[in-house]
Amino acid sequence: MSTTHRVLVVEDDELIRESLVDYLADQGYQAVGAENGQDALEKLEANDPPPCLIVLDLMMPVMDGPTFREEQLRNPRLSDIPVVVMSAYRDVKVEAKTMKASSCLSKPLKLADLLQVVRQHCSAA
Amino acid sequence: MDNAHPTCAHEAEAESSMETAVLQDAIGTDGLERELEALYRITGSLSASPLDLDATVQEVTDVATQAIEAGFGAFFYNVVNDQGESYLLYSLSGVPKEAFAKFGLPRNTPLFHATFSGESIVRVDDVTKDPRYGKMAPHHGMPPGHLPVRSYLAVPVRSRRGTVFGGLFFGHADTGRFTARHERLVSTIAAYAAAAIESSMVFRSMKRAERAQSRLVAELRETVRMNDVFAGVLAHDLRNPLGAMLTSGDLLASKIPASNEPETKAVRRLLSSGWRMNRMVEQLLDFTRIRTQGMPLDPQPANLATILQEAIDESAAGQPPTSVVLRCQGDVLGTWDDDRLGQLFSNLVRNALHHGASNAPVDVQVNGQDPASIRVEVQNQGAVPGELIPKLFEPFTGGQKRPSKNKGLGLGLFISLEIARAHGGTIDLRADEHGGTTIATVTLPRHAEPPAPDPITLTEDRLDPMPDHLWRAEERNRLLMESIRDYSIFMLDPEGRVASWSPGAERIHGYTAGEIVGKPVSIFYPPDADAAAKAAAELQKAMDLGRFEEEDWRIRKDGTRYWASVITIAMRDSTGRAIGFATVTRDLTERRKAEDALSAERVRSARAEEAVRLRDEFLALVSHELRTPLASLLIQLEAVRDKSDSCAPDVTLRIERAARSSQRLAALVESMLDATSIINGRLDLTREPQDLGDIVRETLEDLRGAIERAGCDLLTHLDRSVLGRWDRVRVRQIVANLVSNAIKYGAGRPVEVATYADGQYGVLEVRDHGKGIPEHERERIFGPFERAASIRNYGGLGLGLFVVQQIVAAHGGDVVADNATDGGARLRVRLPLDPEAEMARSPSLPESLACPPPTASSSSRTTN
Repeated sequence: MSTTHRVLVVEDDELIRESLVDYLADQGYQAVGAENGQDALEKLEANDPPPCLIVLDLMMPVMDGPTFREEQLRNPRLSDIPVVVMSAYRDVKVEAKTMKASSCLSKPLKLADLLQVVRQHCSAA
Repeated sequence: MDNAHPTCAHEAEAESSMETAVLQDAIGTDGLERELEALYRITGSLSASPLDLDATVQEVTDVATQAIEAGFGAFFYNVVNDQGESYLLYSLSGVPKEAFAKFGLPRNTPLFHATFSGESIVRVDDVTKDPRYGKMAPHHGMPPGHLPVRSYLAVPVRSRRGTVFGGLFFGHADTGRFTARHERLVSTIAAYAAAAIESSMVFRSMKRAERAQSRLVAELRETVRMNDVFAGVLAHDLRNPLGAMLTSGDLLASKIPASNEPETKAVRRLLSSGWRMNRMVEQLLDFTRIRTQGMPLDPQPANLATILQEAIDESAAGQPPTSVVLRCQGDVLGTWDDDRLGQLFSNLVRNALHHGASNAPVDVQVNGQDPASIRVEVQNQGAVPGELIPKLFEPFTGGQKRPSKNKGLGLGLFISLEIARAHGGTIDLRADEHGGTTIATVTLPRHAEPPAPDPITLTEDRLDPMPDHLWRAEERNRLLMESIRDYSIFMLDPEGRVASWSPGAERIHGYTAGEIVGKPVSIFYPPDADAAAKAAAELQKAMDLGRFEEEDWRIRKDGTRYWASVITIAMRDSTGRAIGFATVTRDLTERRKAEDALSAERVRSARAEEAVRLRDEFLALVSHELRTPLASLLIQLEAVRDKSDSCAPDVTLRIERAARSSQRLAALVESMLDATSIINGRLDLTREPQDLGDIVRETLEDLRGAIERAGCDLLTHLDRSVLGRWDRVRVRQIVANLVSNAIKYGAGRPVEVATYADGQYGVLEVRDHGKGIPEHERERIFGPFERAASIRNYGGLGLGLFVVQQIVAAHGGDVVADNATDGGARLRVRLPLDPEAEMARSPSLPESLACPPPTASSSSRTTN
């Protein structure tokens, strides 16, 4: 499949977002950044085919992570895309569970952990 | 008398007369009739309107005045109203109120002193001949127009605990009217009055406390919630830049060829500083959580062998693989919180590596044979001094006076022990000074239970919701009233055996007359006390003093205990012969419960205060403790930057990112430190002549990058010569905080900043075009840790506007928030003008600082 190496990184912190996108690109993935949930939805609507994984921050302006997840699950075209939740907020585990996310990462991220999760869902180009 | 409960009063009356009859039968002496009747009327009054103090006091005065056939009687008493203020009130009997209206309240004359101080009863046959009489100016005795008084009897009304509520005063125009018997009767009545006033006061203070408590509980709930939000936000705000820095550092490491050793070394040091700092943040968050809520635990099926291996891998990262030896045979299965146990063992292994001799490995040995509990020993070479061991588990000691640069916070062992304890286990640290080793032994039950909650822990779900709380107040008051209505009277013969019984007594004690008459009074005492001896001693006291009162436990027929107020009165016939005792018992269980509940809530409120204090302390701690590692982080970063002058552009980009993250972190820590000192009341202003427009221009210049990144157009309208004596740095902070808020909440939309003079004030106005601030939140947002928007969307500790408000207030100005008619929030700061500031204006402000220089009253537009 041509889509299996695309990863969407939804993160409002510009420095983190760009670093992650860079890193995933280095590792051979096509990474796309979105500033918040709203931006992510727009990018998902506009881009076809969908990514193999969404890396989602929780606390973001305009549309936060949980709201994005609700919207995503409501849309049958998007609902199957696995989501890994990352947050600097405490209780990220609990939050990930309630959001039905496939896994969670707490900030500061260990890049190796991120890579491991990405590898579970996507194959590098 | 105020019959607040007509039905109850009626019943009580019927019962009273029945009991009177019972008693009269038992005693069979007419001489006591009036006195008994007086007693019953008093208890009846208590029963009918126990909490109507005025009615009770009036009744007491009337009954006593009639019982001793005084010319008139008065009761002067102190009450405390719902606001906690004290009043002197009085009731009169035998004369119309007008007869005393013009005299004012009794003063603390030598005659009255004995009564109002609770010192003694004063009974004189002719008061005008008493040495204490007539000592005070201006009247030297009774003021003109006073009712004639010769016979005088005054009895203090004081509680069993010695509080003087007031005094009962009786007078008669003839001499020698009051006898010892009258004195005894009035003192009994006074005891009842005191009990009634005390009950009423408990009730009132409960009502008062209830209101204070419900406010407090609301505040407490909010504090608990805020503390949690606060810690979460703090975690978020600290970890995000730290995370960005570490990610950039990781990427940087991957970009630098391994051959370039000085550089890879610098990056490695940078990363390890970053992770150490992250550990400190985690520890501080854990510490706060433990202090306010205890250690949270989520036990799941887990394998200790895996937990240990991972913990060792983490804590020994960067060490030679032989530095830690794990001796564990196969899987060790149980129920634990794997994250927390991982943290515990990481701490222990890290400690062992840090303190142990570098040439000998740290030895981790697991004993998992016991089906009930597991033992893990972490051993290193080098013995810790024995006297240091208990200290190691205290927070922030870590065996050192203060945390030094590279030693961490001294929280590791404290948190580890909390984790072990939460699992139902423990950590034992031993130094074998002989063998030169230190062994930490962790004992854990194989299956940990989630920790049992502390009954008054500060968690929200254990606080009753408000309506319920208020309902409880109502219920409590009802119970209180009923409790006061519950009294019994029975008679004892001179030997202390029950001589008569009554329906009230049956209701309270549970015995029928047939079961109890003839039994010793000690049957009502708790069996654990030496009941018979205690009862006998108390009867003796009643006999000697005429009356004995106490509050103590009593036992019902069914063996249940209740808290009772008991008054035992020695009864004598007209010849003075002892004929027995009348015992009046009230069940005060509910009142005692209410008092206990109040003190429980006091504990609760103390905890709320503690929580607030902890939060402030935490803020101070975090900002203070993080400063040092942050400084070292920035130095490491500088070193990396220096070493990579000639690097490829993608390396430079990453270094810049790491630098920006670290600066953000540094700014955050500084602002926390600043907020801490403001919260602690340390805000010293350096006032100098200033031009508001200049300060704003200068600040906006610094913020230009942030404003552009937020996609906001900046519209300024800055009047010239808005002059005052202000603290330049602090006013800059006001501008920065308000503009940062505006671009945060109104991102992508224009932000307007204006300065102008308005009357006595220089005004700074900052407007955004975001959602605006709801009206009900416009005052709240200036409190510390408050925020205008949801935590789900925006980080930030909620200190910005608080700091603004504090700075403005220190300048003698004010700040208000409202919404502009076309939407968006508008914050308006007013600082007092000082017309003389212009004359004194120092030339130290070169025009070049004010850039760009727009003409007065013009708009400039900065677009990105």
